[in-house]
Amino acid sequence: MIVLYAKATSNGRKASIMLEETGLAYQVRPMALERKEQKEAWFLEMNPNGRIPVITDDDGPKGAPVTVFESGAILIYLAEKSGRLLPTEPRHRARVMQWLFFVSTHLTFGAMQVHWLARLRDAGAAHPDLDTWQEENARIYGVLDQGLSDCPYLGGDGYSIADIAAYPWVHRWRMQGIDMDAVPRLKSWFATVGAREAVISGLGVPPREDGL
Amino acid sequence: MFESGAILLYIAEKSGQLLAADGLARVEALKWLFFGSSQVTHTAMQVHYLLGRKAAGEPHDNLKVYAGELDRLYGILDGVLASRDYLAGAEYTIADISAWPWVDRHQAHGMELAPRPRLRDWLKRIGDRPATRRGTDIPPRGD
Ligand SMILES: N[C@@H](CCC(=O)N[C@@H](CS)C(=O)NCC(=O)O)C(=O)O
Repeated sequence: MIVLYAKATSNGRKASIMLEETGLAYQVRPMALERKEQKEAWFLEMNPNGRIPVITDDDGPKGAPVTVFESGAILIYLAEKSGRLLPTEPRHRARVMQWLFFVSTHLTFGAMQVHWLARLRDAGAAHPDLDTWQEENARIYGVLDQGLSDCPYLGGDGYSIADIAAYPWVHRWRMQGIDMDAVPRLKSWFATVGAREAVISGLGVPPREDGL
Repeated sequence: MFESGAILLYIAEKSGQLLAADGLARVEALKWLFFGSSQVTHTAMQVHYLLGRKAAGEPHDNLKVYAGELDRLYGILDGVLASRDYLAGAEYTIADISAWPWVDRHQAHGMELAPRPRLRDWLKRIGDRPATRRGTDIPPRGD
């Protein structure tokens, strides 16, 4: 059985959506980030970086138990385990990997900075860097929009782990101050991906009370 | 294709080198590849950028935050290297390549390697590889 250690944050949701998409059996261990459970010794043993998501799988490669941290690695692990959402044909696979890494680095950090600085602003401690990071994040949304100019999905014709990595961040576009009308292809991608059953159910794992 | 992490994976899979095709060794390499490509790269780039601004007479209070975070990441790398020669295990992989060029800049980033002896040894172990020596100067840089 797979166990997912997470909270329904954008990085956590990459893993929960993927688990829902693959239909692999899993359990959730909700993590109380506000209580810093992710910095406790038992958790650091699984991920020395002290961040969620983490998964454990007692039926890992060749039947051996395995622990996986880093959302990007979790996506590839689950794709290879299930044989889904990551093409094996090299050209197609390269395109999926390209966008998976773009999203795991640029979008993830750009949007995380904006979330953090916007929270400071809302707490009355405005930080001068908010504008800079909002601009950078909007640029990244523009790059994603460009990536969708010849295909309906980031990885090409088919939905893939690259889309799963991007979706939970784009889901929070309002908080990031993004104008979705400025990125029409991404806007229609957002509607298509957001209508998937597994995406809808994955967003709610584990359930969160604030409706975000 | 673009994105250094994706290029590493592509070349590893094309050549059949520096990334196990399956098993626990593959998963371990993927974990540290993403750690290097996302956490280490992002943090070191911020330190690099903010040091540049400081040198240009525009100090920024975030430098301390990112330098502290980079030091924490160095600690994680040093920690995993306590039980293995390379980030993903006994074998050199693309995970090492993703982090090495940033750690190689430790002096410029004001990072201390003395309290991180295993990271220091790893830096040297990889720096001694002929391919690392050739690769760090492609394309050649005048400075
Ligand atoms: N590069 C990591 C980043 C994970 C990450 O930043 N997770 C956040 C939640 S979205 C977290 O655990 N924050 C709590 C903390 O930093 O203590 C990944 O993609 O898995």
